[in-house]
Amino acid sequence: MRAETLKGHLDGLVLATLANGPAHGYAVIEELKRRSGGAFDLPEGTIYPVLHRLEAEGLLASEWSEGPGRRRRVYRLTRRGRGSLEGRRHDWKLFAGAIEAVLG
Amino acid sequence: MNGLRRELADRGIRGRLAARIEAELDDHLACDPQADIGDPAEIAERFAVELRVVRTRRASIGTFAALAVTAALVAASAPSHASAHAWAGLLILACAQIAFVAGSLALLRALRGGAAGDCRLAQRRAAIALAAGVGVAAGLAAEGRMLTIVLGVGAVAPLAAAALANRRALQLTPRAGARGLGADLGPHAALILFALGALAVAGVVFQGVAFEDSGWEGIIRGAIEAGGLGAGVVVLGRPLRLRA
Repeated sequence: MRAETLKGHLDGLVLATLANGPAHGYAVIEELKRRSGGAFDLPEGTIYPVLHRLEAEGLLASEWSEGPGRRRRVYRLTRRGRGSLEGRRHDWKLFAGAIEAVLG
Repeated sequence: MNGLRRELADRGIRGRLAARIEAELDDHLACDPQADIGDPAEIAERFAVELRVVRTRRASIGTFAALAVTAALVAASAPSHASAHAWAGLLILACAQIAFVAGSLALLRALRGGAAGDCRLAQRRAAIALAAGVGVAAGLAAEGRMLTIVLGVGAVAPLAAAALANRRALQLTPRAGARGLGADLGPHAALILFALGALAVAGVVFQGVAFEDSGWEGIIRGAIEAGGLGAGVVVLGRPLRLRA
C-alpha cells in the first residue's frame, strides 16, 4: 500500500506501534508490516521523517541506545503522544462506524 | 547513503540533526542490508517537508509570544509614562500595530497552511513582526528614562530567540508562491481587513475625544491613524500578502 493512501492515518499508525513500548525505526516499520498482515509495507524513507516530525511535535521522545556494535535511536510515546493516540482511536471508531453504517 | 549529508545540507539540515539521520539510516541498513532506502535527494526532501511545517508553527508561536512579552514591557512602562521624545512614542505606536498585524497573520498562515509557499509567507510575516517588535523596543529605550531603557533592552532577548527559530524554519523552506489573504481570513478577507482598519481609526478618534476632551484632537488623531494604515498597506501590503 502506498504511503499516500495512508495520508492522514500514518501518524496514528506510527503512534500505535509504539503504544506497547519503545522501539527503533526499523522495528516500527516491521511492526507496521506485521500488524497489517503485510499491507503496510511502507518505504523506509517515509517512516523516519514522520518519526522526526512526531518528536518535534512532542508526541514522541527519543534517545540513543547502544546496540551490538552501533548506536540506535529508540522512540517512545510521550504522555501527549498517548493522549493523541487515544483521540485518534476514538475518532477512527466513530468514522469507521459511520462508514460501516452507510455502506452496510 | 552516499551524498545524503550533502542533500540534507542543501535543504538546511546540518550538524547534529544530519548526523542523527545518517546514523538512523545506517542502523536500518545494518538491520536489513537489502532495504531500499531510496534516493538521498528524495529522503532529504521528505525530512525537510516534514520538519518545515513544525518549525514554522513553532517559530510563529514563538514570535507571537515574544511580541506579547514586548507588549507587556511597554505596558509596564506606561504608569510613569511621559514621553521625552514624541517621535519615540510614535515609533512605538506604529511598530506595535505592524507587529500585531504581521504576527497575527504569521500565526494564522502557519497554523492553516502546510505548503512550502505558506511556510515561506508565515516566516516572512514573522520576520516583519519581529523587526517591528525591535522598533517597539528601540522606541521604548529611546524615551531615555532608566526604566524604559532597561525594559527596551529586556525585550530584545525574546525577540532574538524568536528570530533564531524563524531562521531555522526558513533554512528548510524553498522559495514558492503563496496563497493570498483569503487563505487566512476567508472569502471576505478584504472586507474584514477594511473593517478592522476602520475599527482601529474609530478607536483612535474615540480616544482623542474622550481623553483630550476635544473633537478636533480626535479627528486629527484619526486622520493620522488612517494615513498610517494606508501607508502600511502600500509599503507592507505585498510582503505581508495583504494584496496581490
